Amino acid sequence: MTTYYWRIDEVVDEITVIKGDIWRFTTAPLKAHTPVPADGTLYVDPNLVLTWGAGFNVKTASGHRVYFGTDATAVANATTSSPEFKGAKSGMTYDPSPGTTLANSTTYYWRIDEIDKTTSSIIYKGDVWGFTTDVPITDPTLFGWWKLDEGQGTMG
Amino acid sequence: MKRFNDSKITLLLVVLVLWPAQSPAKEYVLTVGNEQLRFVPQAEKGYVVKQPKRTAGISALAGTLFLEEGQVQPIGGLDRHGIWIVENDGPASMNDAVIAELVQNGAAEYAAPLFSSNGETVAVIPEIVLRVHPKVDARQVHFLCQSISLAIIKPMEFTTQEYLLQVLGPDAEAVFTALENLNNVEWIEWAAPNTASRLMLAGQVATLGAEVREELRVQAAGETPAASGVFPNDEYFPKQWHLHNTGQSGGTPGADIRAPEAWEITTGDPNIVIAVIDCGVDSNHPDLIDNLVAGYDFLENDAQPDPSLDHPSNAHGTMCAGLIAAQGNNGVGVSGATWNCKIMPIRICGARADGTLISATQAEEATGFRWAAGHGADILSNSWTESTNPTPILYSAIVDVTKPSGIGRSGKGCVVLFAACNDSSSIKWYPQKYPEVITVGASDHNDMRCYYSNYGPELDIVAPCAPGYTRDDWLTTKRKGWPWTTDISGPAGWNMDPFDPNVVDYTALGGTSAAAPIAAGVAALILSVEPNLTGDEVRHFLERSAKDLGAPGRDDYYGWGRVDARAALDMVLAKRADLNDDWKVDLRDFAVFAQCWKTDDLRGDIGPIPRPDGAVDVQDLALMGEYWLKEIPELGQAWGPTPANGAINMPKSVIRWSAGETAAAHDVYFGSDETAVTNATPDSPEYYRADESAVFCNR
Repeated sequence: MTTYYWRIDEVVDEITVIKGDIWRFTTAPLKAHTPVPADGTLYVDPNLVLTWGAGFNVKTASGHRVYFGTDATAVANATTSSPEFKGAKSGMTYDPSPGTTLANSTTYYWRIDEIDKTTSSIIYKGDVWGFTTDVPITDPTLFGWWKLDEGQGTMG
Repeated sequence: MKRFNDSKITLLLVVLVLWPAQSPAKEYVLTVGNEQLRFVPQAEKGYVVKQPKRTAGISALAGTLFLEEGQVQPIGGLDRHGIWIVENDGPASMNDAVIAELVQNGAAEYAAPLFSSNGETVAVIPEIVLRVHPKVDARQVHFLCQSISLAIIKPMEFTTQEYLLQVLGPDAEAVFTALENLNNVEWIEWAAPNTASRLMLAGQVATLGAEVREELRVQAAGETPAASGVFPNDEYFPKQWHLHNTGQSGGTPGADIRAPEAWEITTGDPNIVIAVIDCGVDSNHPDLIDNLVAGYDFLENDAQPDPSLDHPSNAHGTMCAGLIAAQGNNGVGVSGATWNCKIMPIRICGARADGTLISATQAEEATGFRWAAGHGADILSNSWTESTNPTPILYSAIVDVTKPSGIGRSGKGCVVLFAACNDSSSIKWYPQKYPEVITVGASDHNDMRCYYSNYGPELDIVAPCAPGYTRDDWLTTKRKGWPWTTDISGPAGWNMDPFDPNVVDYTALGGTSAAAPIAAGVAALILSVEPNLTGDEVRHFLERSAKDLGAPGRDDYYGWGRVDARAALDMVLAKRADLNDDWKVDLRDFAVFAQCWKTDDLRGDIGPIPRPDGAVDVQDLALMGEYWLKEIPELGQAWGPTPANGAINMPKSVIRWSAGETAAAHDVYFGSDETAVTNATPDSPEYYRADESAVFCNR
């Protein structure tokens, strides 16, 4: 995660050089980052797809190893032979419950490991992120939950 | 359809039997400069014939071929040289036999099948354009030609480096052999076939039904111009939403070029000349007659570039001309984007009575560009395209008229605009793809891109000229919101005035054909305020003042955005107040101004609007005040960084930028210390050199 600064001066001829503005950008960390839903989010729609930001130097094809489960420790320690391992994905999305939804009122944990682009034995192990799904609506007079977060939020 | 009588069929069969051994159809690949041109014979489409001088004439040729006269067609401008085209859809073996027989019995000096080049049908005629290195003299060309069966038809006008040559051989093989020989000569820059392809106009012309007439009648009622700006008294001005959009076509008020606001500054200087390179301009039109200068007809090789009257499509050039400079505030018809600038008609094509378009060869079109520049045109407006193949002959002329110290505007360079064309696809056309050209797309009356308007990295700007964004919008509006302009006067042309069928002098033009002239008109307003700008500077102000649409900054669908005449003029005037040339108007400029105050140091003479008056006085102070603290995008700066400025979480990638207009090379400074990069010089560790392209790997 480094901020780089750059500038292009246009060389017209031997004498004239037109100085450019300073531009900046910040590189991504090596690990996966920016999980959606964010770590610790409550009342998440159980019909969701997880997404994240790619690490700086991740392999293009099947570069993201996805671990998913309800036990934080198991997810944290999982390897590719554990049941929590859900495969290596090329894109930065994972649908934990294709065709159906997750259980209500449950906390799930997930972890994304990034495989290095040049040396595939180098793995950038990700943090464990968690989210908790929505409570089921049993009161017939209620028809939904509205989250009143600042910033990012969803309506259930 | 072909109609043979029996005896003629017999004769033809004899020909076929007597000529059994055809040489196999051969494909040719030419490298001209950096471009590769590929030609595949298509005898099944037809053939080209050049008659010997003594037998010249369409009837003689038709007789020889047992065809009716209508089946033999002229190629634009070449009929006078005895060159004709027969498009008959095969069969190939028969056409090959006819080609061989025509040459064999002396009925033709030259005959060749039609060719396909990048999917287009091309007529390869026995002519070549040759470009030599500077200082190679005509004798050297002459001796070379003698040695390889070529003749000089003429040196190309307005250049000392190009020649039009005739190939003396009888067939396409002779043409391509000569080209190969010429391209191997060290002092020759390139040689290219002077092909004739069927040029396309980028316009779409409306035919209005009664239903649409009714809608337009409703629209016209109760329109009152908004207060701000200068408004002309032309009868149809209230309908010209592209100049001033009040919502009269159902669009968004303000989605226009802001013409009345610009006309507060200038309505156009009569010394600024815009060449309309098209199918001719009606020199009798009441709304154009006072805004025309002498032009030339390169299709018929005479000084009367009026359109032919035998098909409505011939109104295309007159329609384009009206959008640029139909006389404003004369009480009649429409107003152009400028009221008083001058149109120079350059005719390079025309529609025949059956609607087929005939066009001059590339050599004639190239001469048209140079002729216009050589006769004082500042801006060249083009609503047509030549080919999906590179057009080296046209490109050479475009370079000659745009380059610094070239033939355009006494060395300041002409501004050359082309319509992006209407294929709803990425731009595949030449000359549109050449960087010297300003390629103009179409936006609609809501400031959205029109669905048909071509896009891509070559697109520079868009101009408002259509009422609908999607194809459906376009169909449901039945083209009612097209920009109003001049039609060929009298009964010829499109004649579709929706109010009074007796009024036949005005019509509406859509497509990117309308966009290029509207943008050309804005370029003319820029030069009206500052006639000494270089072509590059006009382009810079035109593009960088455009209203940004679509993705921020330049993008491939809107280019820099929709042209904004007032913003362009404001930018030009702000630059005038930038006395110390640091691209902003501030105290440093005022310091310079203070030195000039009440002296004869005319650096401070910037006002009044539009043109300075030769004295440094309170008017100049007023102009500086009007543009106080304005910043102006700097000409020639690099722009368009990828990753975008301020981007976060960027994966490993290359950094890219778009080169400034005048850049020959790029100095790249890169590092993680902002101050070091800001202050870096070529001796700093942050320095890298990128000469070849605007791509630089950050790892």
